Amino acid sequence: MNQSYTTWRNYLFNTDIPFDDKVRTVYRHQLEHQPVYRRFCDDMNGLDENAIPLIPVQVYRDAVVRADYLETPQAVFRSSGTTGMKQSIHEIADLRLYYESCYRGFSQFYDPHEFVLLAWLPGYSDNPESSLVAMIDHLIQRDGTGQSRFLPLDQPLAGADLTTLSNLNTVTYLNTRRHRRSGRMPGATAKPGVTPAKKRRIMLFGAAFGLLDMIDAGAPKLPEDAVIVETGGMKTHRREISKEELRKRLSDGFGLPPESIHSEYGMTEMCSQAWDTGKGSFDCPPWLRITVRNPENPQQVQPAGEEGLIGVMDLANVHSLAFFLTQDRGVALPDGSFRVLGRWDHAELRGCNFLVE
Amino acid sequence: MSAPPVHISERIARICDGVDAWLNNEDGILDTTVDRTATEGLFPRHDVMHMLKQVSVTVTPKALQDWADRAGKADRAGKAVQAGKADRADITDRAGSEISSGSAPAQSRQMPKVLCLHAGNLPLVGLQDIIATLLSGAVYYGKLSRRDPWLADGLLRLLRKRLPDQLGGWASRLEELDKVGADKVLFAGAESSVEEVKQRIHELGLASAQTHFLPRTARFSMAWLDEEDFRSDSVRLSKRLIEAMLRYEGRGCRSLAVVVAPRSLSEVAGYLADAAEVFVRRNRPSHYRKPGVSYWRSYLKSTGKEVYDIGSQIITDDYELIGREDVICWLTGDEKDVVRLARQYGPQLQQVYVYAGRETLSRKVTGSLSDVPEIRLEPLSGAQSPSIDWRPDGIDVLAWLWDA
Repeated sequence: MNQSYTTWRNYLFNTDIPFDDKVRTVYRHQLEHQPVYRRFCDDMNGLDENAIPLIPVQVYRDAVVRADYLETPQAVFRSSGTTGMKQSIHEIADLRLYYESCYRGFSQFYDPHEFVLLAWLPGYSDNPESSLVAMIDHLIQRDGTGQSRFLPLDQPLAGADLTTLSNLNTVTYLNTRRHRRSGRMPGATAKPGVTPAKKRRIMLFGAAFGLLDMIDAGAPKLPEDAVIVETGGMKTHRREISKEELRKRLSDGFGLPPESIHSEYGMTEMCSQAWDTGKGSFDCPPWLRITVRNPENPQQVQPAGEEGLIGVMDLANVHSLAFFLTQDRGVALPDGSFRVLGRWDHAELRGCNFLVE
Repeated sequence: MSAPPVHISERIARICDGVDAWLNNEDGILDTTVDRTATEGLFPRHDVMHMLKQVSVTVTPKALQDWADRAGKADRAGKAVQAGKADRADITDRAGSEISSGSAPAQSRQMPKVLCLHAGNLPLVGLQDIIATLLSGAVYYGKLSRRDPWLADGLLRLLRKRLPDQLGGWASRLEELDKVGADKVLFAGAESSVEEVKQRIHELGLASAQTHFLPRTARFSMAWLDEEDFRSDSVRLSKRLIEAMLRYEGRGCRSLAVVVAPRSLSEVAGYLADAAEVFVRRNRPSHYRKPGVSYWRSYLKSTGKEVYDIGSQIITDDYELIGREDVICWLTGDEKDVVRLARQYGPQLQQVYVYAGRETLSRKVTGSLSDVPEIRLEPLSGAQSPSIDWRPDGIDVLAWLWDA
């Protein structure tokens, strides 16, 4: 496999090639071009392609993760970094691959033409190198209506927004596009056989606690077909609450059924995202695989139902590090999806702990 | 037969008599339970023997009297025991458990009931809670640790002979205990699990809405060294550090998991490795290095961090691994770093040890750390041999039992 970015893009998103074949190809590529990962695998005696080691995600903080063929990255993403902690730095060699992964992944679970995207990310405004902002910005840019946007921080969701947006429909959108191409006026009567008018739904992205702040500030109820996507961030964090409680509060606060509260699972260190489309667990696009690993032996995959650390195989990270272990607590479900249960407390195994018994 | 109320001095005498009987292998109980503990691989024999030595030194009439005096309520203690008839509980014997069946004795019914959830990584981990409960005049109920079902059971049987009204029952499974509706519950756990444990206790009818809980959340300890410590005797210092790190396989909350020192890890690694070698020769670890520790060792090496083998544990200069099982972190730093880490790890931090005699300890205690509540200073030499009245999480359990 040569190192052409285009070749890699075509290869990684080719659904005719089995995932495991692509894993082996990416693994061999990374052993050859990522010195830190090579050293790690060597020491783990992990050169067996059937037992590919996941390196701790901390590697994005502790080392320069850069393929030996990369001179200048096209973008750099940084985690926000808690006080006193080093930031994760993810150098993006091929920004187009990143965007393709985001958009294709999103499109696996949603029809982008069905939604108007709104994003309110106050905690991220001071981090211009946030991967989350980059991802959502790209999804917004791809929406041809021009209605998708980041909401202003001081006026997140005025009632006028909702009125305007609920009037926007697919026909308007289609006609606008046709008008651009044919010179016809938008809003002209559709010809017989054109898809009937269909309203666009609102999709509101926000970090979990930012959305709660929005509710506290008196956000209006959303149209009943709207969708909330909480991005899992703890920005503007006040206190930790369970996923169930968060879902209920968002559902009550925005006047939506619980199944309209969706989630996105991603991080600075990932070029791909997993999506929870309202069923309460995450699914992955075909080039991303999540496994749950035994914290006491990260080489072991936990059986479905057993908690452990979330392990990532993100093939869109082909130019950085594709195989790594997060510090997130998760559980795999029998249907292949997974749940995120918060952060793993590594000190649990030290000292006395009644629950560990 | 009715029993008169037992005054605290009498309780102290009976507790110490029971402990002595246990240590002197009355009824062959100690030998049997130590053998069983070791042969079942629950704890290495050398750790059990270390613990027995500590019990013999620390559980004395004077130590218990001093503790009661310090808790400041010795005069009130007798009042906890109400006058009344003290029927013997009907006890059903089982392996590793003593469950009272039927109604509680009349006298016991009027005494506070304390439920102790022993969960631990050390042999006889709940000893302090048992002694404190009996010393307080309350009735003891216990959920024994699954890793330590024999040692505590043996001791409790002998104590029951001396204080029959105060030994309510014990078992290795929570579900086997009677619905005692305890007045007070002592347990250890992660901060995040406290509510879950409380809920479970309530569900099983072991507590009521009025029950007071004392959760202990500390998980590891830290050492703070200064340049003077290294100048005095590095070999002796290393020996003390290694004892604090490796005793009980580093699993206790008093075990040393973090060292803050002016010298770098690479400067002291040789001394530590030598001391660890001697320790391990005398105290064989019960297990090889765990896969999870090897995993981190590989990672640290691949990213160019300092990492050395210390028995089956590793020691590294990457302080972001603080708190991980079998990983000891060495931070080159000073007093400010001690404060920063203490504040960062707050409820997880048990003790801060100093390598010092009384004079240095006193100087450090009265220094700038005196106003940091998370920091509880103790001499390093006592890391694995605490007095019976030491304060887990900074709380005197006896005073709490009397006050709560």
